[in-house]
Amino acid sequence: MTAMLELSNVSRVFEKNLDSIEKFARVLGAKVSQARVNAVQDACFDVQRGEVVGLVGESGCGKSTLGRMVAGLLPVTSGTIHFDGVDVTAAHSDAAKRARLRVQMIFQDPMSSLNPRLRVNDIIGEAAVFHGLTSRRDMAAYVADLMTKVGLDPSYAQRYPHQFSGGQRQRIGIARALAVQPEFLICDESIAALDVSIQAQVINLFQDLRRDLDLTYLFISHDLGVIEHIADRVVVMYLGRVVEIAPTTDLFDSPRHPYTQALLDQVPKLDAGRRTYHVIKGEIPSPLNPPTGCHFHPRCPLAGPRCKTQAPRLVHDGARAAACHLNDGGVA
Amino acid sequence: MTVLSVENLQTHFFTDAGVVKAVDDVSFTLNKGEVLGLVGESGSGKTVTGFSILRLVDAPGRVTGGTIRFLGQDLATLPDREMRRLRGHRIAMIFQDPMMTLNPVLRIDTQMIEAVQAHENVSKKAARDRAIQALARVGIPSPQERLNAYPHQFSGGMRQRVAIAIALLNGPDLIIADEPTTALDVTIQSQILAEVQDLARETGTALIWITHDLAVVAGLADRIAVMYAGRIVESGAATSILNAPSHPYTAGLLGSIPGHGRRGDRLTQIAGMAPNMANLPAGCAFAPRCSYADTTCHTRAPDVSSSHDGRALRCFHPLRGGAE
Repeated sequence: MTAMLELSNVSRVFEKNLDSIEKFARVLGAKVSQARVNAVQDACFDVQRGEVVGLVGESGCGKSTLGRMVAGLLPVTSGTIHFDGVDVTAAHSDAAKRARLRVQMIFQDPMSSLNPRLRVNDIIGEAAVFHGLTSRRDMAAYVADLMTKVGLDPSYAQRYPHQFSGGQRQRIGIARALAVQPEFLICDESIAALDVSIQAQVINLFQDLRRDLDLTYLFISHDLGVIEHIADRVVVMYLGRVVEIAPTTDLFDSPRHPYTQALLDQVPKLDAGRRTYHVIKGEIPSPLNPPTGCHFHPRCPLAGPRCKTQAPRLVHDGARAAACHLNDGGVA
Repeated sequence: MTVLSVENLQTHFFTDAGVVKAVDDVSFTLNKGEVLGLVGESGSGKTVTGFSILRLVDAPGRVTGGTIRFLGQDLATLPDREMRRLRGHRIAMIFQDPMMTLNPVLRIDTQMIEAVQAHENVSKKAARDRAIQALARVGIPSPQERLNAYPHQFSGGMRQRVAIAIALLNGPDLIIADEPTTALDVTIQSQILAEVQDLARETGTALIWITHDLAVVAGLADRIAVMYAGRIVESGAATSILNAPSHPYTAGLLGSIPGHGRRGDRLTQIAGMAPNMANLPAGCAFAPRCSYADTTCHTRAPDVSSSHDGRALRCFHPLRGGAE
C-alpha cells in the first residue's frame, strides 16, 4: 500500500537578497553576506490514509513552513511531495493541481484568514462553485449543509465573520476547507488561539469529521497534550530537522531523542502539587546561525564530542525513527 | 501575614451597550510568599481584577464597590501620589507581552535604573548594580553586557525575563503576573516558572498568577481561584481543587484539557460559549451551559458558601468528591 502523503528530502531555504547598497558595501570590502535560513532540511516522512499525524516543535522549528509546502502554498526548494502517488511539487501538471485540491489547510487565526468583507455564505461557498462542486444556484443549500456539519446554525449564513465568536470563526474556517471535499486536512495550530472549553469543542469536531468523512490529518501544534490526544503518530522537529518519528503511545512512553524527552518533561501537567521543574538549559538557537553537528547539542545533557561535528541521521527502527547519535553508535 | 485582602470588589464598565460587570463581588486574601493562581477564560474578568488592585482601570470602567487592603492600607482611599509610590515599588505587575511594556527606544539599563531611582534616592551606580543582580537572578547570561542592549535585541523569552527582573528590582511585596508565559515556548515557559517559584520561596513575595491554563498553575500555585463571568466561582487549595472540583465549570475545564492518558476519547466539552458580559443571564451566569442547572439556578445567583478547609464555592449543586 502506498502512503497517502509521502515527503522525501523536502527542504526549504529562505534567502534575503542583498539590496544595492549592501552589494556596493560588499564591493568596498564590508562583511555583508546574504542571510540564509534552512527552514526545513531534508524532511522525510509519510502519512497513511485515515491517519492523524501530529507535527510538534517549538516556534521557529519549521513546522508551519512544512505544512505550507504540503498544502502547496509554498514551493519546495528541493525534494518531492507525493500525494497518492502524484508528485504535487511539479507545479504545472493537471494531475498535481487536482491532487492539491484534495489537500486543504485550516489556519491558526480565523480572523486573519477569513475575508472580513465577505458574508459567511460566500466565504464557504466560493471555492466550491469555482471548482464546479456546486452551482451558484445551489450554493446556499450546499453551504447550509456544511455549516450544519461543523456545528454552525445555517441561519447565520448571511452574517460577516466579525459577528461570530472565536470558536465559531474557526468553525467557518473548517467549513471553508471542507467545501471542496478534501481528503486531507492540514491544521496549523488551529486551536491554539481558542479558550480551553472551546478548544475541547473543536478537537471533538475534528474527531467527528475524521470519522464521518474519512479524513486524514496533518496536525501541527506546539501543544503536546493536544497531540497526544488526537494523533496516531508524531513527528518531532527541531530547528528545521525531523528529530524523531514514532507512534504516539511509544513516543510518550519512551522517547528516543533527548529533545523529545526534554519537551515531554516541560509540559505543565495537571498532577496537583508544587512540582520541581526540570529545566532544559538555553534557548532555541537562531536558525540564521544554527549550531554545527546536531542542532540540539548545545542544550543537550547527553551530548558528546561527535554531536558537535557530525549531524545525526534519522535512523529507522520498525515504526520508529530518531536522529540521535545515542541510537547510532554513541556520542563519543 | 496577610499581604492583600480583596473584599467584594466590583469593577463595572459603563458602555453604550449597557453596564458590563467585569468584576462582580470578588473576594480573596493572599499571604506572604503565597502563590494564587487566578484562572479563567478570556473575558472572565481576571485581568480587570489585577488592574483594579493597581488602580489602573480606565474609563468607562470604574471600581464601584468593595475594598482592597494592601498591608493593612485601603488602596481605594489612597491619594494618587501615594498610589504611584506603591506601583512598581511594593506592588509590581508583569504583563503578557513584554514588547508592549518595554520601551523600544531605550536601552535596558536606562529603563531599569529609572525604575529604581523613581522610588529610591540611590546613586546611578548603585541602581545599576541592583539591575545587574536582578537580571542575573532571572537567569540572563552575562547581565553586565546585556544591560546595554535594546529590547529588540532580546528573544521573546529573554524579554519576558527582563520584564520580570524589572518587577523584582525594588523587592515588591506583591507581584501580579498577567499571562506572562502564554506567548512563550514550553521549554522557555518552564524555565521561567522554575525561576518564579524559587523567587517566591526565597523572597517571600506574594504572587497572583493570572492564566487561562490550569496546568500552568497546577505546578506553581498554593491556591487557585476560578473565575467565570466576573465572579470567583470556586477557590481553595490547589491540590484540593484539582483533585476534587466542586463547581461544574471547574470540572468542565479540567475535563476539556487533552492528554492525561485519555487518548482518542471524546473530551468533556462545556456546551455553548461564554456569555455576553453586557447581557448576563439571570441567576447563575454558568447555568445556560451547565448540565446540573435547574430552575433555581436560572432565577437566583448562588451566594458564596465556604467550607472548613478554606474552600469557597458559588453553586447550588456542587459535585461531590470530584465525581467528574
